[in-house]
Amino acid sequence: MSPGRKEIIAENLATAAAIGILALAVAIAGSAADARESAGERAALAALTRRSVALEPAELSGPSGAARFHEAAFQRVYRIEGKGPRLYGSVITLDSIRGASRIAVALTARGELNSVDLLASSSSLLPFARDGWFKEFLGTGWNDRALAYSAVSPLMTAEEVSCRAKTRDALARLSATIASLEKVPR
Amino acid sequence: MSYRGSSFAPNPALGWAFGTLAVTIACDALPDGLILGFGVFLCNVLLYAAIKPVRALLSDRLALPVAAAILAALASLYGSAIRAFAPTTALGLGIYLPLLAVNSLGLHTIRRCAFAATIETRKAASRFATIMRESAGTFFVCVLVGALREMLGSGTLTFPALDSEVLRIAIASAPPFGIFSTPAGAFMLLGTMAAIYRAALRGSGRRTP
Repeated sequence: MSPGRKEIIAENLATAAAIGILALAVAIAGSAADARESAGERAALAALTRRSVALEPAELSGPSGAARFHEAAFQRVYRIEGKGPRLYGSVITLDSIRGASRIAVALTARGELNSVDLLASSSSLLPFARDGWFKEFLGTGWNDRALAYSAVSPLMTAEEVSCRAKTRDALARLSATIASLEKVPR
Repeated sequence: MSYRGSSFAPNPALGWAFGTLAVTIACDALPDGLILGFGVFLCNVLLYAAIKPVRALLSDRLALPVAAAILAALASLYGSAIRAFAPTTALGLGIYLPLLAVNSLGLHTIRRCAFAATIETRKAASRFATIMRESAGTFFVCVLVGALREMLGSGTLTFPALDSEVLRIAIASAPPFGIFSTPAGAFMLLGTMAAIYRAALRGSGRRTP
């Protein structure tokens, strides 16, 4: 092999190694962001339920491959510990063309919506940010009509109808996930 | 029509910002403009710091792929930081956070092309002051577009804070011009800003790009 060719190969290898180091840094930063996000979710659920939240998620989705569900709206489902009825909690992302809202939700072991709290909204115009948006879903689960067919009025805008459907779908899927965790017959 | 000054020298940052700045589509509120604008600023300045030693070590054929890899890593790191400290804003920005790499690469390439005419301008392109001026210009454009679009499209002005606690001032009871919240409104605003910029340049007697 000519010296020039060897030099090119060495340069290519050095570049590949440097890019590999960059990829490692990105992976470490991604893990740190995940850990902080998970801690934030647990704190929000603890504030919502006023109970302690399990350190490890009961279910975890994402690129790790250990997922039993593949859900864009929520990534982790936690067991809520302490006295009282058995609860599960998760932080759900609901998005529309204007932005995204994050809500903390607690569900019973049967998958019925126990309580909900809007954590933050990237725009004040999002329907999810309105007072009472989640009220009609309280007490319902994946097998209830309220989640299966939430009311749509002719007075609603297209965005409201779309956001209502997104809320219903995300809550129904979370509810079904919890029902499957608890082995509730479906 | 007569022009004062010497040869035509386009401002690459403003040309890029007003012409091809896709990132402004995502700047529909002041916090989004601040986050994306600062992301472009940070990526450009850090690329400048990183690329000089890299260029000394590597041949020219690898300069662009390495710049792309550095920018992709910087945009990913910045996106992770935003996701960790302001998850809702990060979710709202979605794909536009990793796309900062593409925007910064575009700016880097346009600057190199625009200044490649002579050795002197090539040297000027690699000066820290040039990079800072262009990056600050981009940051300013993103912030301005974000603030204007929020005021016109939503009737509010939101001051950013870490995650949930934000200060939102209501300017109008209802959105004055809802179209400015949409991507079409972003292009309309960019077009208007470009026209104002060109008129200002003509007024000062400089050649317009």
